[in-house]
Amino acid sequence: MIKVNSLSFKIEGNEILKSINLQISPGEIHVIAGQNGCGKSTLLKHLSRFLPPQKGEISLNDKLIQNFSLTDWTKNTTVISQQIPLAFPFSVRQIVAMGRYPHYSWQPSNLDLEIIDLALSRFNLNELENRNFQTLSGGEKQRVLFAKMLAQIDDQEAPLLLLDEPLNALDVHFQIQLMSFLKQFVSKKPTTYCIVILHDIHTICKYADAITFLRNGEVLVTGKKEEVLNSNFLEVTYDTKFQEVQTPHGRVFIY
Amino acid sequence: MKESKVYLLLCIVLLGSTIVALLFGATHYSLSDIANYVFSHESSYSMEKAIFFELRLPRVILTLIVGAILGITGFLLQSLFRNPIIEPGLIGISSGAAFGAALFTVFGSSVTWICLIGSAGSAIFGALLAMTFIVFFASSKGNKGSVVLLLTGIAINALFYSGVGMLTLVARDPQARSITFWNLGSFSGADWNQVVLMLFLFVPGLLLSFLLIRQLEALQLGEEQAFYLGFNPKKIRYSTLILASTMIAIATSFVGVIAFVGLVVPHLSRRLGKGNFSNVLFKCCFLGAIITTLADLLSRLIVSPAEVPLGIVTSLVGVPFFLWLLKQNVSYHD
Repeated sequence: MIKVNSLSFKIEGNEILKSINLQISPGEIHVIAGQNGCGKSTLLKHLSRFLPPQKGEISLNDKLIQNFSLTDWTKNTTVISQQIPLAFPFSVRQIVAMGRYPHYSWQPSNLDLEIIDLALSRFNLNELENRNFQTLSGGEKQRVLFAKMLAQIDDQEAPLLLLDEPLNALDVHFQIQLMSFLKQFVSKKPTTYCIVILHDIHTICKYADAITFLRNGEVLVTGKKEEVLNSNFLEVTYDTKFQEVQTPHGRVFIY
Repeated sequence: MKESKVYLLLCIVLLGSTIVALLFGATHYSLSDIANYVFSHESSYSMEKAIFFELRLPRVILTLIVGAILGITGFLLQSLFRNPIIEPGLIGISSGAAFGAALFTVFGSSVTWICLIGSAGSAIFGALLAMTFIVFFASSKGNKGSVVLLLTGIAINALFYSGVGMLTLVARDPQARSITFWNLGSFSGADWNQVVLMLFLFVPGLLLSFLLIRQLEALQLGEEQAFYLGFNPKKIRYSTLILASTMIAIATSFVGVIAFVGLVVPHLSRRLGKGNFSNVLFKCCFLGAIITTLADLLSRLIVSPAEVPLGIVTSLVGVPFFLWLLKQNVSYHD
């Protein structure tokens, strides 16, 4: 269980996170949602240990996350950030192979190479493996980043997956492909923690198991999807009118 | 082209450039002359032989090593700043070293501590001082990103060049001329002591650069991603800066400021074959050595028997390349 306890964060006098309390269970897709600038990415950066807490604490199975060695932590934790700012050419294979960096110090072992190959083929990247990453389309780039993520944690017992708006600029086909992958991965390995920042209500409705709605740096509500995904919370979160509609495929929210 | 073929080509060109650089200059030699000097057991003394062993040979070896060092440092800094237009001269390291060495030229005989650390020590002091300023100012507001680091470097560069200008003003005539000449770079003072010292710097420098390769590769995905791959971005930044500053400072203290080699070489290396960082680093060694050796040869030949300062030759070639580069689609990110 991941527990966030009274986490606060200030930058240049602005309170970005205000006493955040939440719990995240393994084996489910936990979505963090809220308006732009409400502190979602900052919260994710704390969960990934990139930002140390100024106030409050985060623990994983009752151990403070900063007490894990960085090597152990990065072997188990993988993050997909919003942007990859490459200034120099890298092949698809090189990017995916970087996912194994926390696991070896000089040369990759045969197991590392096997995992890299598996990750490439899992996302149908074999034919693209020598292509320059910068020349790929948005969807292809995102597949490469997912493959890198998989390469980093595929052989770990209890991985932690943190994804910051991984579906941005992707068409519906790729959105379904990548979210189904996450769903499958988590159900196959129920010890996985998977925390995803998402904007699209329809995707949240379809794939989330648990949701935390943030508003102005505070937790508006957190809990199982069935308990917290309703028009009332959506309206307060996004300052927009929502209407819940029942369809043969389940609930949808229109605005 | 296959990697093995690229390396074979680089070896051939390096060998060719070295031989040509050994043969031509104010005194021309033939291959048979050189073979005679090297393999003959006669101990007869001749002026040409002395010139070859005491001036030409150490000079060419020094150009090879310094060229390789310029290539490596250019590559390290471009990778660190994730910016293809960076070179040691642009971010204050060279000017810091130039300031330190100019301090030695002007005050070396009168101020004890400067005299004690010598020209190389004084240049390292200057480069590290520049680097300390850069690191201090770039991180004092909590923003430790590459953009701030780069902008601070440019400002520090201007500051130290003003310092060198001031020292030129207070210097007596021969000192001032030596600072000016030295600011434009020259291998004319090369000797065996410098060769040995540079070799002792080059070998560990190259090894340490290889140790940084994976970290610099990870840094290309951004500081955040480098952290997620198990590396400390702050550590990468400081160790790369210290390594590059030390190498460039010692090289600068012997041969002056040589512009544009550190900029051009990593670009050419990236265009030769695969983008794997270890390969690029290796190619930077070869290409740096080749280009510097050929530039030095040109500087000796253009107005022979006089010499054109090396910096003028490298700038004449480097500036058009730099301008061409700016016209290309150069991406810059933080």
